[in-house]
Amino acid sequence: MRLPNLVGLALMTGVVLSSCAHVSGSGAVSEEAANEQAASELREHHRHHHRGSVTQFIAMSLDTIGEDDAQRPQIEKLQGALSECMAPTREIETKLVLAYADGLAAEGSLPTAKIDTTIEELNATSGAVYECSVETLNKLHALLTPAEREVVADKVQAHWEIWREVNEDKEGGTRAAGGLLADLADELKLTTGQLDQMSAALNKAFASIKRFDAKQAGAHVLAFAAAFVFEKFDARAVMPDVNSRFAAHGAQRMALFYETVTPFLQPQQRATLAVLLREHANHTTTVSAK
Amino acid sequence: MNRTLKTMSKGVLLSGAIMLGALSSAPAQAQQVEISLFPPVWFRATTAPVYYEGHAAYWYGNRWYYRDGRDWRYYNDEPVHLRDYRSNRGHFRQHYEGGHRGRW
Repeated sequence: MRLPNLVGLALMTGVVLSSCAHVSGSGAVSEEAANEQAASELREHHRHHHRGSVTQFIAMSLDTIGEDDAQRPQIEKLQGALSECMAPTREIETKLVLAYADGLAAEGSLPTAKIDTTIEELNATSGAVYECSVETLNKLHALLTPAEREVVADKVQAHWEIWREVNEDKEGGTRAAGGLLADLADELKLTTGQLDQMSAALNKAFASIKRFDAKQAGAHVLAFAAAFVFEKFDARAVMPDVNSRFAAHGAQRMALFYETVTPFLQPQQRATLAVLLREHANHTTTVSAK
Repeated sequence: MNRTLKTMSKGVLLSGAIMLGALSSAPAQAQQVEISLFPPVWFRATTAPVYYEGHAAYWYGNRWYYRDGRDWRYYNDEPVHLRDYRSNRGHFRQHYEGGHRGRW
């Protein structure tokens, strides 16, 4: 048996055993459901929100850094400053998602030219997010304890792993549970025939796009995480290069997905999807600056 | 007593290997097999840890796990501080699409 298969089997075994271990009581069952919901929501978030690569992950890590009530106001203030740095990309992202929603609601083809232009705009703008964040990141490092810095580094890498999992091109047409197509099937009650058509079309569409180099794109995430745990840290010493801008890749992938599946949707399904996308456009996930 | 689990992939592989061994020996008598899982990435990304003895600890799979360098360890005996924290304050989790934060 090849190693990847063994790893897959071991992972599956672990998941099954973990599930079995949690069904012994009603409280445990609800914990299992809550875990699955949290995982599903995080995947959904990273599929639809591409605001600033590593800065986005750092800001998200502060949501659950842990509870030190005395420090919390300062942390939220810095988190708010990071959020301000992502305001331009957030605005572009909202415009992008609303372009899908409007196209779906109009029952015509999606406005691909407008979408492509918006993605280019996102790519250019996302390059400035980290630069904007440098001073805040240095303040954050000075504020946190060594254990908290390790938590931020770990969570940033965790977010990157999830992001990579749901935005890698190879999963274009997969119907596996947890994938975008499977989630779409649940939300829109897709028929087997629709799923077959969409899966085939997605596999074809994703086969022809430029391959995503996750190693190169993730280099900045790993460099940041490695540097942040040290006693001395300067955010400017781990500046991203152009290859580290993966926000646009996520947006491009999302665009290709919706452009590919839209022709196979019934009018009511298009309307439902438009509503769901408008909800994404209205999501805010970080606190405001105080 | 603490137990060291080297890496996530090795730990999961070990779990799978133990399970495969148990399956291949069926219908052998029931064996007590200890399965250990680490807090997965989605869990760590959405859940707040509790700080204890200089570590960030996560309650996952009915154990407190904490990172020690590149390794993960867990407490076989739940420390009083962590047990009290769990009893009194619960755990904090961020829901990203639900738009709310909550304890569980």
